Amino acid sequence: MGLNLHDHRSLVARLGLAFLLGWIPNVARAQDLRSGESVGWQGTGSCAAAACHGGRTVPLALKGSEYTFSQAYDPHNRAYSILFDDRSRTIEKNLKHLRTIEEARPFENDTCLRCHVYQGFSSEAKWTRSPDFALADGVSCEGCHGPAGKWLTAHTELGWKGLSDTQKLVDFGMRPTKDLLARGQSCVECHVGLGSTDVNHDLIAAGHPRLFFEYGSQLAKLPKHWKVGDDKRRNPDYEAKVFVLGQLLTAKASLDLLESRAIRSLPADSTSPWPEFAEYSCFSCHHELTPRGWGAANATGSAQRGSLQWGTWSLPLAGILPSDLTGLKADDSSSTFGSLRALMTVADPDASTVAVRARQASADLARLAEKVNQGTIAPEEVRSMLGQSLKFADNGPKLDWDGAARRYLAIVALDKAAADFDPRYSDPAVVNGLEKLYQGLNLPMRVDRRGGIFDSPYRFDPDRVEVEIRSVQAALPNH
Amino acid sequence: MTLFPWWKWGTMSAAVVAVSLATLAAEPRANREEAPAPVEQDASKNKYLGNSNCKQCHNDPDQFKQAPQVQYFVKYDEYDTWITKDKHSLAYSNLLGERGKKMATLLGISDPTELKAGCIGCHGAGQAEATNRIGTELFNPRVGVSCENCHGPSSNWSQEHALPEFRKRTTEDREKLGMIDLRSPAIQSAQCLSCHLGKSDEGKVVTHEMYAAGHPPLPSVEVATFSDFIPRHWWLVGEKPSDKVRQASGFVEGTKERTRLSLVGAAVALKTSMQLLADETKADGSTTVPGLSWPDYARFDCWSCHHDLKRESWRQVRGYQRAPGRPPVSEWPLAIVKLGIARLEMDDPSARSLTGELLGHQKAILDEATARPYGRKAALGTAAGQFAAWSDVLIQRLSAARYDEKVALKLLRKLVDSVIDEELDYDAARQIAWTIKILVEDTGTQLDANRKAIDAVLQSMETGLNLKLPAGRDYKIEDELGKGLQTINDYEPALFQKDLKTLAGLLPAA
Repeated sequence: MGLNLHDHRSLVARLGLAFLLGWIPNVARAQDLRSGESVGWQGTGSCAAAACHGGRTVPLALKGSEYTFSQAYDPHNRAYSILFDDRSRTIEKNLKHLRTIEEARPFENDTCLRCHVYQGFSSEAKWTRSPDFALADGVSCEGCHGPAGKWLTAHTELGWKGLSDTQKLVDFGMRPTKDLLARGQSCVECHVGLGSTDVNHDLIAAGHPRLFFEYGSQLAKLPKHWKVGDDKRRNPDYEAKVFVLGQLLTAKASLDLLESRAIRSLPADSTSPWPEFAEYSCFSCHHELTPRGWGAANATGSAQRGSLQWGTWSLPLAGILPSDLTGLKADDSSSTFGSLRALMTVADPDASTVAVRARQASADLARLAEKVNQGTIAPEEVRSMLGQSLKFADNGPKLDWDGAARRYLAIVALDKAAADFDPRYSDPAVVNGLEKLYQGLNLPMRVDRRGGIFDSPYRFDPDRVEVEIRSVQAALPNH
Repeated sequence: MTLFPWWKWGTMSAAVVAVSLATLAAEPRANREEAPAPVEQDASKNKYLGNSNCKQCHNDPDQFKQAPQVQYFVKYDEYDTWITKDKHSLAYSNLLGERGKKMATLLGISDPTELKAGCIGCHGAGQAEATNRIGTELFNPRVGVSCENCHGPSSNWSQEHALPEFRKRTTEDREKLGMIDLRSPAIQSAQCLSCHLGKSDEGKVVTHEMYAAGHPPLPSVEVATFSDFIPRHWWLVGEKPSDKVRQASGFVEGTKERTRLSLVGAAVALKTSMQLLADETKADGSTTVPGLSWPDYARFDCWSCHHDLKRESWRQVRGYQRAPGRPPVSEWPLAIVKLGIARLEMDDPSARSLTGELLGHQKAILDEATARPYGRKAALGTAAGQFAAWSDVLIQRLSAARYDEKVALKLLRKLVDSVIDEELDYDAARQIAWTIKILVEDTGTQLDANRKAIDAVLQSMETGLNLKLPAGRDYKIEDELGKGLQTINDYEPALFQKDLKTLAGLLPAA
């Protein structure tokens, strides 16, 4: 499709900025409000007409019922209303040091609305929204498809289908969501973060759940208002591509966020936190309090005792991705990632250097993602990745929870990818093995004396995970 | 002063001590002006002789019982208590035990007993005096934390301290001779906390790397309780069996020394923790003190990070005084400081102004420690240094204050009322519970009406907060660590608050 990911990003950023500043011709200013169609964000009302995407047949046919379907099943539509619950209010209470949760108004806080309505939301810039735009719709159609001001009419007209994705994006602001890379990009902007849209450690400590995004599993879980069959027709390597792109996109978005975090912390009067603890494995610090967890036996391969492990969730699983496909090497110590990891592992990393290295690494990933998106992943590459994801180095460091969970997700994704061309991969024995592996990972819920529930992998056992992974391996064809 | 050589000392000691004690008893305070000449002593000349020297007298109470004129002012079984019951005597051998070995491997240390490894400062010999200690024939760090680690290098007082003249030495003179005046609650607390909290200029710093390799977490310290659990090989002055000795020591009957130690010790803990923080912010990498570097997570509150994630998390319910997600410094060294000010206010209402000053320092520390993760280094160091200096004044005033049964009850009431609505973290709660226990014990018969119910509350606190310290030489660190960490994990402020509320209802009205 010839759209460079990097350009795409900056274009999206430019569009966002343009909305704020009112630069772009054709995007309405206050005086244009009467011609509502030219205002950036139109709201779901524009999509929901019964004749368009609001079909009401029973059961819901996807084509023509996208809005109705999403209203019914897609959790994104609750993104705004959740800001009224006690947990959201508690988060804001903690962040702002309020006395009671009743004083908290997260539903009016742009920090929250930037993901809980749409990326780049600004309550100040009311002119970018049609009067019909309802926050209450949460993350709705335009959250992923782009603000409809310029394409709402156009996309119903003859000739629209003749436009390229690039034209639709550049001239009209519609995101090419059929493209797996662009689709993933809209996910990571909130599910990883973008610029100052940042679920940082302050926010997590205040009560916001940690973000951990994995494209394949999130996409699989999402109640889809489109046909996966269409995705698979366009991409015969659909599952594999989503997995690999997800690895690269998540890492790229994380590095962009890291760069932003580093830069925001630089001014002398900055209140932006640095080092940013959300960059590190939660369980480097928040580990179970037992003699095993406390020091001695808990060696999970950190470079220095007592240092935090960086990027355990976000960096690509280079040992699994084939290097001839992605250019990533399993041993990345000499790469930009390797030098970044070394920088980030000291207690107080140098923010300026980190920002520069993060940008370099992000640019590398953008190129790789573009390459993967344009190519096709061959069955033997899928099998090879699956093989790697089941492998344990002799005497290698034990998996920590992040590592084990990511392995699990990779194995599931790659097994599904392999099943696309060989049904033996969806054999009940394999599925059963994966289920047991999942149980081995599952955060073992334990209720304490006051009824509190532990969310961290209290009693996580890397040895059990290793055993389960080996039994999955044994159940696979050609083992 | 001419004395017989120390190696003959053993045979002569009993007689000398007996004589000296008899003299002391005969002429207590009257002739104090005839004190020995002031000491002009270079502290560096004070050498460590090792504990075998001390053992000669301090290992046999019976030999003195044979001399009826002897007035007991020490127990004479100190060595025996230390070697059979006090785990300080294991401090060195623990370095070579299973956990010590594992730690050394993880830390990449070939020999944990070497100075540069940073262990020996607390586990055998303080670094500052190391050149005086290690390598001399007589001092043997392998015996662990022994007599001179607390009492000071004895080459210049070992013989003299048995003579009557020595009783007339001032604290300053004794210090010049190398003896640390542990009768002073401030000095004793500082000495304990130099290891149990840390003192960088003596090479006593537990780093985060050491913890990560398996060093057990340093708990909050309530000095009076910790002293009791050692177990004490000494009598409090009020416990000394001889009226004359008590009088000679200037003891005012009815004084509650453990209450005093508790309050003074709390102020010393504040000073020590702030000094350590200030010192560490000045670390520029060129220091020779092992482990002194900035930033070191170990200077921040352990349990702010090291907790299992759960909902509802009491931390999130409690809320945060500053940005959440940035570890503050430990709460516990501040837990009993307000009570100290309350004590001073009893005699001098103007001491109330100290509360304002305290809040000012607290705010400065909190602001600087959470302005960013690890705080703003220079400003945090300055704030910590100023807080340490401020606490020094508090220590002096608290040391001079009077403590009796009535004061203990007033303090108890005050303490319980002041924390009853606070959601304290585990270490602070423990610090407070230990102090409550000391205060209850020091109220005499005033609480007898509800004694049984009060004991039940104390028992509940003891279980919920694991207040009983592992004493003795036969404990197993793995068991204790497991139990301790589990208690921390299970800790809920609401349960402690419940106990406090019950206790408040059992105390007589103010």
